[in-house]
Amino acid sequence: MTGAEELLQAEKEIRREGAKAAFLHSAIETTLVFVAVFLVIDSSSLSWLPATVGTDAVTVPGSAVAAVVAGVVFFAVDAVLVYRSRTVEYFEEANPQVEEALRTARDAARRNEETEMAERLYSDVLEELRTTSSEGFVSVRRIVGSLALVVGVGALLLTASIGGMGFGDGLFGNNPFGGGGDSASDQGQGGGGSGGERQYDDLQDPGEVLGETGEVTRGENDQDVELRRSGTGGDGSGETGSAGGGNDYTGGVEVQSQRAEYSPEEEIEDAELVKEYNLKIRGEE
Amino acid sequence: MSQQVEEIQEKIERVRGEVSKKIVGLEDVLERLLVCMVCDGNALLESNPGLAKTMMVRTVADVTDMDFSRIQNTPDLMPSDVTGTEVIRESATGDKEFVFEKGPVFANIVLADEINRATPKTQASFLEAMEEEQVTAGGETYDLPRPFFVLATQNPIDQEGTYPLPEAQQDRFMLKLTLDYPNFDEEAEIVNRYTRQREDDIEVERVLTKDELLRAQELVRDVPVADDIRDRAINLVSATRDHEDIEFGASPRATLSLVLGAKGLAFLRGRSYVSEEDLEEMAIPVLRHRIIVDFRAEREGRTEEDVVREILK
Repeated sequence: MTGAEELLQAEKEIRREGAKAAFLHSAIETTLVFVAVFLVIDSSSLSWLPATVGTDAVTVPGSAVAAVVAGVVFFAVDAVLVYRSRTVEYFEEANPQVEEALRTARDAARRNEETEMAERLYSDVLEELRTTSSEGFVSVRRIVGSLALVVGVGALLLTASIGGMGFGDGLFGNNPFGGGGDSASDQGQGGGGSGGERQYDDLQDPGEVLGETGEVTRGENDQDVELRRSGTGGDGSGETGSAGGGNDYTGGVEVQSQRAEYSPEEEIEDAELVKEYNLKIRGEE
Repeated sequence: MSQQVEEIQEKIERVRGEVSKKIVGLEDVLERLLVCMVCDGNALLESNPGLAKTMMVRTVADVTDMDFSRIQNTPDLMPSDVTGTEVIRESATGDKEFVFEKGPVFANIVLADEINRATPKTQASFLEAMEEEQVTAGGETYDLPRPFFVLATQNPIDQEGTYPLPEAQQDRFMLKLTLDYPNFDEEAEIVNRYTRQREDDIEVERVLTKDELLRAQELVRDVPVADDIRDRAINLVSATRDHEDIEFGASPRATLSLVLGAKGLAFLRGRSYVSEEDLEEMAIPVLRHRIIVDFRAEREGRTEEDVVREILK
């Protein structure tokens, strides 16, 4: 392989490094776009966006699908743009110690110059390239900025979901901490809303309320009762303790055993029935 | 192969060191003079009298193993005094024949002192030698020795009785170098050095052979130039043709000299490629004698150097 060919090979290597750097940049920035789009869409409750997408078996929140689509489109565009900017000229600017030599060597190699001075230049440049890092392709500031934004937006998303800002239709739709919102979609996700009358539309699975059926141990509560007789009759010999004595029984505590269980035959399967029971119990109170 | 390049570059560096034994300061001028030599060009040196132009050229000849001749130009100097002439010579058998007697131009380094004092006809004889590296006399053409340089000097003052070189002739000089007065320290060193000893007492070593210089000339032409630097050289020279302060711009020969001079400077500095700096440093010495500022600019005190600097920005 001649010096010119070796140099052109090295140029290809540089372009490959540029592609890797472009991929890295775009991947990080795409993550940012995905999280940001998800956050925005999920908090906007866009009417045209379906709440979920998928089959009966697998459903994915619509906002997540939209974020993925946005991320893919962004990645495709961004990767191409960054790759096109990460040219050999960019590498030369990032490595001023080889800039002019590399530029000259590339031009000379394309002209297929094989003079002594050209060969010497190729050799010098290739030697210099061995000790030159391609990290110049990577914009550290840009990457750190993007990562910081990813972390920031991610933290915002997490905080919002925990604090119940109403990202309930999305990935956190079943979160047990929901509440605090006042939109229609928030109703039923927890207390505290200003939506007016409490609704039970989401109370569909009685199993969640009652838990698993099973044997319940019998309740038992024994208490000792003391009966005392008082009065003036008799021979004065004190006698205590016999039940069923005189008329002045002062009474004791009424003891009644209770049993709390329900049988599987009585399993409640209808939420309406639960509601009815609930109201009935409250009425008795 | 690369080792030979480095060896020659090192020897040229040693030439500078040897010359500086005799010449104080003037490093830039010496560097450009060497550029001219490795580019196989000719130089026009302009300075006031007494600035060691002649000594510098002679010292360069001494350290480079080259024949040196000096021609003091005067109005009565004839072309044949420069190139040589045919003389009648009697052979051992008594036959008489014309024999060409070579003139002082048949040397490797020709110092044409005060060339603007020679008549145009004599100046033209130099120009043929410079351009063609040959001399024609009596219908015969004689090749000049190689390497061959004409280093001409001219005095910017005392212009009476002179024949300023026409633009076409100035264009044949690759570089025009101007020498400034030394600064205080340099002048003190000159006084110390030359009031205690004579010039001949300072010995210089011969470090570069003719063959090595010829090889250096080949290598300089092989120094690669990036396309954008070549384009910048073309644009620089083109800009002199359109500039409002310039009456006559530079020719394509200036572009050739600019690129070649930049190659030579890169070679002298040990590089295998031409940088922007090389081009910029060579722009003034290459262009200043090839352009003429117009009357209006001249009246405003603008010089050729000013205009070239402006173009370089």
